Order: sequence, then structure tokens, then C-alpha cells
Amino acid sequence: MGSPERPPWRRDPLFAAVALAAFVGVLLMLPVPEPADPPGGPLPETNFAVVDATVFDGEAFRAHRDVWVEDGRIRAVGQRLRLPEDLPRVDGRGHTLTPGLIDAHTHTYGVALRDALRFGVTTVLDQFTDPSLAARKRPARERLARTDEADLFSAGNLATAPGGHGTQFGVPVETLTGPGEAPDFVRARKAEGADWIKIIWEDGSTFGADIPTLDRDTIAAVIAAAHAEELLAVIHVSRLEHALAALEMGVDGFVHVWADDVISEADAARFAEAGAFVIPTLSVQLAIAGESMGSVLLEETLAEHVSAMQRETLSGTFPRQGGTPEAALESVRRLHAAGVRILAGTDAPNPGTGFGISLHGELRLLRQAGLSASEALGAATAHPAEAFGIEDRGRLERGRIADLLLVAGDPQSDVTRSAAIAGVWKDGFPVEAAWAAPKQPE
Amino acid sequence: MEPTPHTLRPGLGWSVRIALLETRFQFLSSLRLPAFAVPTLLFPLFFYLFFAVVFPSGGPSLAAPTYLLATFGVFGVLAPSIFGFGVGLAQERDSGALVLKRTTPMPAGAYLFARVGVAAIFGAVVIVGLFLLAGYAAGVELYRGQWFALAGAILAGVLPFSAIGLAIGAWAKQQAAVAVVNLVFIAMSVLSGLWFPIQMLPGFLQDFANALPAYHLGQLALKVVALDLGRPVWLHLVLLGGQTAICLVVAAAGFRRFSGR
Repeated sequence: MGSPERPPWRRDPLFAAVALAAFVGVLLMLPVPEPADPPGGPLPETNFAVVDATVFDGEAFRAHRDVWVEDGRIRAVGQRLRLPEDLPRVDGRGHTLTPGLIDAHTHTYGVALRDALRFGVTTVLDQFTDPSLAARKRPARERLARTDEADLFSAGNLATAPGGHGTQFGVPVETLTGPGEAPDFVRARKAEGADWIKIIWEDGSTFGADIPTLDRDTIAAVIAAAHAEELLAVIHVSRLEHALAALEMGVDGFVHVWADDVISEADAARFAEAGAFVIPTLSVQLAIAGESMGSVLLEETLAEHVSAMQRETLSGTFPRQGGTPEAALESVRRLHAAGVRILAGTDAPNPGTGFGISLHGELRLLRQAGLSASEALGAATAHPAEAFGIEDRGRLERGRIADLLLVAGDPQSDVTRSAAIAGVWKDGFPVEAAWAAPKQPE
Repeated sequence: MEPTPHTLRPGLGWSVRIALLETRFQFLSSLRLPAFAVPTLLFPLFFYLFFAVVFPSGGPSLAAPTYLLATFGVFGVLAPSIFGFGVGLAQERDSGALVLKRTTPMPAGAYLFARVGVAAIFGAVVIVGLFLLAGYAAGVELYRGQWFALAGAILAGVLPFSAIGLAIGAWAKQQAAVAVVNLVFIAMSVLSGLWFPIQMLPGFLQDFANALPAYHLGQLALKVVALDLGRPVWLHLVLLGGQTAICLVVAAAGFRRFSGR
């Protein structure tokens, strides 16, 4: 050795440092995902992906999922999807993506469908409106196109007695006076385009009133006629006694929970056995009892997101109050425990409720009634779609329409996050109006 | 004039230097043992190339290459740790090399450090190879923090896996050690979900996997890329720590027997 060489133990730390630097260097040069746009800016349309979001797929929350939308439909949901490099991406980290919400009990008029969509309610199951309005809105649900309105499915007109509940709103209603009229009545509704048949059984006694109502034979005949025409038959009741009788008649679902009495566990089991669904509409039950959530919802929502109509109906009160929300909540708790399918519905725009916005309140009430966060959200997505036989909606899975609600945070641990809206897509088109740049009311 | 090693006085610097020196010598001797170096370095890379790059599972999902990146990474540190300790230690003991080393002033800690260090070096080389394959051949994309966290989680496996090797090496004779280590190595890899997703195993085997350190390390690595089974981190850490402690106790008992002979 000519020159004095550094002994090997001197070089070891140097080797170690160089090796460590090389190791870190390799880690630094590995590929990272394409940058995604944070929600809040303009949202992409038709063909895009929401990446690395928590996804509520209609049944359960799943972390770190990508949702790929192609031509307005969901192409794939999965972990680490192999996305085209030029596909626009929305950064879903810290956000939760759910199917567009479905409100299973509304009455459509005015700006209802716009108000609903702005709040992430992409499909509305209407339980009585002007059949001609329903007919005008029908084509929109058959096509994928940019829109500012939720899709509408409706019972159209309702089955009630002359002078009965439903006749007081100014919409002309063809009433029934006996079971013999049931088949013609149902055929006429079907010809009008009714998606199902809604029946009123309301004598007003729960609210201290006396209202004419259909007799049992007529109700049973309408249910049978609806089934003969392959339509669902749903019923409005406000008394447990009526609900149990309607269940015996084979009704498919209840558009309210009764507020007069708490159901027994044995009777709840009968509902489960019959496979009937219940849309409790706790939002309106509370409003009828004078405990509306309207002011709470208005307070926590930015004023520019609320339409004049939403503000007016949310602030409204029922002229005659009654019923006990505690009984309604307890009945829902027992029905749910028995395995009865519970669907989220608001009965908007009744006093104390607002289109769209109140469904977020209903989710909280369903949580109070013992549904888990995923069950409550399922009650506002997959379950109403299935109960009413509406395909292509309610779930995030391949082939379904890209009706999407993106919210900041985690509704699983805090269901109020459903209202922390970061984006809404209808048919793959963003509904940004209210959230990005508030639109002037017309 | 540079001082020579034998003039150094015992102290922290002295211990570090001698540990690094021992690491280098053990690394060189491992490298010169093709039966150790070649399979250790190449098996995980070949498996990954085969399952994740050439024949990845169908569909647009990238989950399979990412899953296997995490699990073959764990597999990649399992081999040098368990073989280095299990077979290497038994070999040095039975050949008398360990007795010779004990007569030198080298602290026992330096020997253990060197063994763990060699496993970590081999593990790091496997990680570099796997990560490059994953990133540039299998199309895996991870956030920068995930690449680092995944490398860290995998490398941390050197400690529990070395403890397993230590326990085997402390008890088994040289020839038996090779068989035992191979059996443990292969069986634990498969049953821990390192070769294919643990979800594909029947339920009772999934429950049994809780008894395997490689399962817990695999789940921790998979957690970095959000492909784990969703059990809490602390559960894996507690069980992994407990299993490592058991291995160390078993190893210590084995050494007492060896020393007392």
C-alpha cells in the first residue's frame, strides 16, 4: 500500500450513509398518482373519477375507493383503479361519496325538484302531485343530460274519499265511494302514468279532527286492483290500528309511521314477515307535534343556498298540532329492530320541512330511531330504489347512473356531515350552481 | 497516523464501530454464500414479477399489484431475517465459530446488531427491487408518504422475524435448523396471506393467522395502502410485540442451555 489507506472501519459509516441516501433516493423517484383537483373548484363532468374517497355504496362505507364515471354512468368502483392518464380526477381524500339521495315522500310543485337536487337529492319519490306535472317531468328520468332538477317518480293522484284527506290542496282528485270503483280507478291512474298507487286512510282522529275516509272494503279493493295491474300500493295511515289492518290487506308500504301508539314487538315482526316497508317521515311528525327541525336546518345552512320556498316552508307551522314524536320514534326503533325496511322520506313541503334540505334532517332522526349511519343512508339510497323497483339508482356500482353526492368528512361517525356538501352530480353532470356560485333566484 | 482498531478503548464509539465492522463482515460472508443470497434476493422479485406483472388478476383494479407489493415486501424481509438467524446462528454455533467470537472482546450486542443489520440490508435491497418493479412495471402509484411508510413498515419486520430465527437457531442443530426454518418460512408466508390475499383462506385459517407474526406485519404494511382487513393498528402491534417477546424468551432459554454445556 503506497499511500496510507483509510482503514475499513473508517469507511463503514460512509458506506452506510451512501447506501441510506441511495435507498431514500429510490423511494423519492417512485411514481405517485396523477394530481387530483380538490373539491371546491369547478367539478368535472360526464367522464371523470373521484379518487381515494370513502365510498358509501348503498350498503356500507368503504375507505379509499376510486369511482370512475364514464358517459354519465359508473364504470367502476374499486381500490386503485387503473384510470386513463388524462381522465379528470377529483381528490376524494377526506371526503365521502354516496349515491345521490332519494327522498321517498314528497309532494312536488314549484321549484321542488331544483331545491332537492341542490341538496344532493337526485331522485324524488312523490306521494301525490298533479299527474300532468309528473307526466311533464317523466322524460327527464329516461335520459342522461345536464339538468338542474332531480328526477321524479310519482304516485300522481291519490285514492281518497270525497272530501277526504288530499282533496284540500286544490289539485282535482278523482275520489272513490266503493270497492266496485277500484279497478277502473287504478287503470285510470296507470293510464295517467302513475308509478304506483297511493291510498289515504285518514279519519283525522289522531289530530282531533273528523275527516271522511275510505272504508275498509274499498281500501282492500284498491290494493288488490293495484296488484292486478302490477303496481305497488302504498298507504297513508296515522293510526296503528289502520296500519295493522292495511298490512292484513297486503299493502306494500306505509308512507308515514303512525303517531297515536307504539307498535308492539310482535306486531313489528308481522311487518317484517309481510315484507312491507315503512317511510316514517319523522321530519313531518316532529313538525306536526310542533317540534320541527326547520329552524335548525335553516340556521346551519348558508342563506344563499336556501330558496325562498325552502325558507318559507321550513319556517312554517301546522295550524293544528298533535301526535307524539316519541311514540313515532319508538315505533320506528321497534320496526327496524324487527328487520322492517325503513325508507327516508320528508313529506316536504309540509310546514316545517323543505325540499331536499329536510332529507338531511331525516337522516339524523333515523339515527335517533336506532338506525346506524349506513342503515340511515341506505334508507335514503339503495333501499328506496329497491322498494319501488327503480333500477340504475341508489347504489355506487358498475352500470348505475352517476348520481353522486360528495360530502366533506365522514357521515359514518357524524351523520350531520351529509349536509356538508362538496359536490353533487346528476347523470354525471355537476350541479354546482348553489355551492360554487349561488344563482340568482328567478 | 490513523489509529488501528485494537488501540481503541471500549466506549460507545468503539461499540458502534465494531458493530458496523461485524455487520460488514457478516454481510460479505452472506453475499459469498449463494445458497443464502440468491434465493433471498431473487425469490420475492420473481414471485412479484410472476403474480403482479406478468399475470395480474383481471379487471381495471390495481389492487392486486399493490397488495402483493406489500406482502412480498414482508416476504422479502422474512427470508433474510429468519434464515440469517435460524440457519446462520445454528451453523456458527455447531462449527465452533460462535465460541471463537465469544473469546473476542466484541460485545454480544454487536453480533446481534450485525445479524439484524445484514437482514435489513438484504431487506432494503429487496424493497428497492420490488418497489421499482411495482412502480415501473406493475403500474402501482402511491403517494410519496405511502412509499416511505410502506418501506418503513416492511423493514421493521426485521426485528420480529429475527426473533423467530433467533429462537430456532438457539435450539435446533444446524441440519435440523435448515428444515425447521424452511417449514416455518413457507407455511407462515402462505398462512399469513403473503402470497395471495388472506381473504381467500377459509375462516378458521384466517383466525389462526392471528398467531403468526408475518400476518400482523403484513396487515400493518397493507394498512399503508388501505388494503388490510381493517383491524386496528394497536391490535397488530400488541400481538406482534407479544409474539416477539415469546420468541426472545425461547431464544434466551436456548442460549442458556448452550452456554451451560
